Amino acid sequence: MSLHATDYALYTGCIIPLRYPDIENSIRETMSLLGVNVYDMLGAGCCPPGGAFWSVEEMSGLVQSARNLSIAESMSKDVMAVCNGCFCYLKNSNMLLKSDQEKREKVNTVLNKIGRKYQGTISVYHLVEVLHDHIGIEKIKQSTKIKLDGAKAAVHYGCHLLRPSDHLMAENPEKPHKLDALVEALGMESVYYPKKLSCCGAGGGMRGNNPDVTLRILEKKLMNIKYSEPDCIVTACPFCFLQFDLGQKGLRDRGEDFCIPVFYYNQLLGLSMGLPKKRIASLSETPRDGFIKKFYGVD
Amino acid sequence: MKIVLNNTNKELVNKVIEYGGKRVYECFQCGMCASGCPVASDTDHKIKRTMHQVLLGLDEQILDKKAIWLCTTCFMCLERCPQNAGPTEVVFALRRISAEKGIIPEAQIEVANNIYHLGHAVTVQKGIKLREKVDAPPLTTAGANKKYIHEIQKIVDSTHAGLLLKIRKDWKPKGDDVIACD
Repeated sequence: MSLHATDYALYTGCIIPLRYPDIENSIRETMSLLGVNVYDMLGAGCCPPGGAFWSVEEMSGLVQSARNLSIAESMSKDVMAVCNGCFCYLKNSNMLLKSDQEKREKVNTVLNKIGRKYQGTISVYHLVEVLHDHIGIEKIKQSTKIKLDGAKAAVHYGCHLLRPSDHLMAENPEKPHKLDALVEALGMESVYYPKKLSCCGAGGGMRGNNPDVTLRILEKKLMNIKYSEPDCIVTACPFCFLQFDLGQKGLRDRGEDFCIPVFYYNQLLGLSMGLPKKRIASLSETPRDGFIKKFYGVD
Repeated sequence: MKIVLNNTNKELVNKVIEYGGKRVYECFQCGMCASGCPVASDTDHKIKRTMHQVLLGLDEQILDKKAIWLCTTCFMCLERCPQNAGPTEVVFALRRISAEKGIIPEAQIEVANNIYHLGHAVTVQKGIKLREKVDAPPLTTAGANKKYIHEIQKIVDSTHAGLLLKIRKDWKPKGDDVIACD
């Protein structure tokens, strides 16, 4: 269990604060209403991701992760990561550094140059774990004012919340249930669709390196999602969110018919709590206003 | 039939082990890795074949084709491998070997330069405008203050990554598109 189940160092990463700050608002405001305090990690940088630094040299990834972890350690708070990639690489680094003294010493020699130190005193959690395991479904149900009865959601877990499961231990990697349970707590039905656990096609540098392939993988994912005719897609990873949001626009620009509204979980939670759309769910390239009007009655 | 392998590099497998693909020898070519791979059917990245090529020492076939950079790092192969041979870790090791030879795609270079110069994988100015638009609180992460970016530069400069990722002091961001991340 965490250091303090109601206090977390909020690790926002890159995509949420700099491309979808409405998601950041939704996280801050819903957590506050659930009685959880989140604190800014002053000066936190990129996690960094597997696509760049980890792909060329382990130490360059480790020192940057360790710097971020040391910021949370200086606050005596566990980290709440709100992006799958950040969660995967920060948690992996934390486990590596806690268990490998040689690596820890090497990392601290580098961190010493900037006056920081990694000590291994905190844990890293994903937002989904905090919501499901630490706050609990009942409390979330009680916090909402508007029930989404009749709405069907296609839940997308994303890769780095689930895998590698022996490091992350956040979910059953073949039969995850926490995000489904959180979605159903809002009154929605989480629908079955084929290959639910498959990748959105964005990670590892794919979106940047090969726009054609990234859209082909996304298209397959979306064809499977369409099978269950959902009203929206729900995820708790901003990079998957971005892939569904901008990727559907990319497919529409090529003349294909993909226009399923996409939400980060806390955006729906916030709307269900009665929070204003402008602050928490107003930035997207794939329109969501139809869904919000139909199920929340808000223009 | 007799098959002769020319130009094999017997050292490749040892290097893969050294660079993180510690259990590559466990592979018995069952194909479970490829069955769950999201890119196998659309690209030249064939993970089962790559595992075999490593064991045979066919480094030129792997590195020249650049297919290892088409892995989305979804970890499905690693999760499902019955031998726990860690195919994704082998891909990471091969990427590290490739980078040492100077073979690295543009997106990786771009995102690494973003992180080195801005503290984040994406550009910051566009983000600050979006934050104002939705009444988000002021940015407090690395991108908000040069002193934090200097910290990141200092620790990256203590590794070999700057050279491998072609980080340039005179770099300018190409644009506001999100190019590469987790």
